[in-house]
Amino acid sequence: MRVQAIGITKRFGSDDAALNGVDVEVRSGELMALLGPSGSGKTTLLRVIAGLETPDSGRVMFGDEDATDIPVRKRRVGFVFQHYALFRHMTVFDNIAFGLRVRGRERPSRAEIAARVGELLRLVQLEEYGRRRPNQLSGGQRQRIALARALAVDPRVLLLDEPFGALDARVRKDLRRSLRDIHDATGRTTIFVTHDQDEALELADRVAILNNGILEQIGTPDEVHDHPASAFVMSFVGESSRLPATVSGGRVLFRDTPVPVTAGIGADGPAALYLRPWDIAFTSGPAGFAGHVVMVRRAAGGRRAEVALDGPDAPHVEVGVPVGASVARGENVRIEIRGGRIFPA
Amino acid sequence: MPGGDSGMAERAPDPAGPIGSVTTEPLWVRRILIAIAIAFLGLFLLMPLVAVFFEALRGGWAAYRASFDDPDARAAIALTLTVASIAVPMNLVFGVAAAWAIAKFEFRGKSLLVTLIDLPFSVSPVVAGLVFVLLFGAQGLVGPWLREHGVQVIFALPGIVLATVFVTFPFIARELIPLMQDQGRADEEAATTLGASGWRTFWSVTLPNVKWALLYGVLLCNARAMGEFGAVAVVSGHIRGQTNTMPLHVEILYNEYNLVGAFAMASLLAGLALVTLAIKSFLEWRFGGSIASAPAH
Repeated sequence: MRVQAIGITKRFGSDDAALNGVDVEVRSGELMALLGPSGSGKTTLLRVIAGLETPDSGRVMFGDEDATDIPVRKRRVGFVFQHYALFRHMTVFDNIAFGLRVRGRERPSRAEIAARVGELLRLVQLEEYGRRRPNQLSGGQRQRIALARALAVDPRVLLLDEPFGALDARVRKDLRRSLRDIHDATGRTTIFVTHDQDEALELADRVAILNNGILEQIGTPDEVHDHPASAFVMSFVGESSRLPATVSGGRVLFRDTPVPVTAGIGADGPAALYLRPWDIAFTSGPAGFAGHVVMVRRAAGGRRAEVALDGPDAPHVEVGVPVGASVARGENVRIEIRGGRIFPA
Repeated sequence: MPGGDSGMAERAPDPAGPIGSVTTEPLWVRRILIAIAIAFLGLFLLMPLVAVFFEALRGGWAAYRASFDDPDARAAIALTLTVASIAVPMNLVFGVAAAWAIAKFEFRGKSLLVTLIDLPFSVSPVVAGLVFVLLFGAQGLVGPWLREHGVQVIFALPGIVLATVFVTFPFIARELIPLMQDQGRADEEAATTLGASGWRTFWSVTLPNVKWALLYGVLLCNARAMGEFGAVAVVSGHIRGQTNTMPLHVEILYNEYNLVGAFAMASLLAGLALVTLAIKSFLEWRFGGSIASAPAH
């Protein structure tokens, strides 16, 4: 089921708009991440798609059907809440069966319900837990039950609000994998909200990045990481350092020295130069910029040296340290800029 | 020293012991505080309670029993039970509705509603009773119209029920609002996304989440409904055998120097209070988590 949010604007009270004309299209069968810092409007967008919030303007389309005015209970969405919202007085079985039992006239028979719940418990690998109560489960298990409960009603789209937010790193990793597996097995259009870029880049087919209620960019993880559309995306996704630069006659200058950046150069004037750690390298020659190492830290993929450049403002940059290179804190070094991206200041 | 020992037992979970703990007062300070507390409780709570039962049974068991054979006494008991059995269910419905509206929805005038719910706590019950007399009495605003249609409110059951409902209104709502606010809306939203109607969500999700707090509120509401004096005294008219509730009957008997009868009736009210207290303590002990606040996720 293709899901579209078209020109969604939502305002709470007199505050700034939580969402300001956001357009997102989620392709059928896609796993989409809504990524952004807190307050960016990502959860509001998810709730608008679910029907839990009514947009001030804009439409929500499910396939070719306009779902904007369909009430939540008829919209057939599966929603997994950040804190699971399991019914605490019901067993796991009853929680999962809830959506089937409230169907009224089309309600399946007892045997059908039992079979469906059993199937879902197997899907989330908690077959033995049907008789437990939510408070007898770990956080990761509750999350799986919440997922099974949402899937029980055979939703047209699965929506997850910060699904791994409250879990520790290891459980989170397992759950990411099982969400991906379940998604691949059922092929259901899935949208999840996260503030964790690693989660979004690792798990999603495409990522929509929101900031201050505006959609900054939508694209595959590679696109948003390698070809960020805005300074915000550049700084929010992946590591980067920012240097004040100037654009003059189609060239980018940092401290009057040309920098090898060619794409995205705008009009003359001050600009912001963003550098990934591998856009900067240590150099032994007289070229480049002098500075000293403030800190060396271990990042997931390798080591990073934080270098304070000599001169006015002493800006800090993060440099990727090659394997085997020795860099010590306090050491005087020279760096050269080999690439980067330029955005309006 | 028994008093001191029981005081120490309360502090047993402190593994460091009394010495070295910053917040622990010297032994003699603790003993004096405990002694003051016990003396106060004994003087103002325990002794009156004992006195009620002592006076009630002063004439012996037979006299105690006989005082309930009086038809007026029976009428008073019946009236109190009737009033409570109307007022408590009404406040159950009002209280749940108000708490649900306040905790789960945003609307204009919400803070005004919250303030209004507390009004019966801040208004003197006598004033509350007078308000009903002014509204429904013979010279009141709607009293004459009601009288023409054959409805008597003041000096009759409806007036007593109205006054009791007014005075006991906050108990259930006050008990539910903080709990429901704490639980938030996610459970209801989850039920709705799963296709449940509002009614179904209320019965299957909202109500079970607050049932112990609700029972607790009903209990307090009932105790107050049966014991209410001031507001009821104003609207009842003290017609023996007709509009006398138990507390009013106690006063009448006492003023007639029928001490055994007065205290026998009072002992029933005191007994009710003790039973309420026992159930309340049990609920707090057993379901403390779901009364004070939502259980941890």
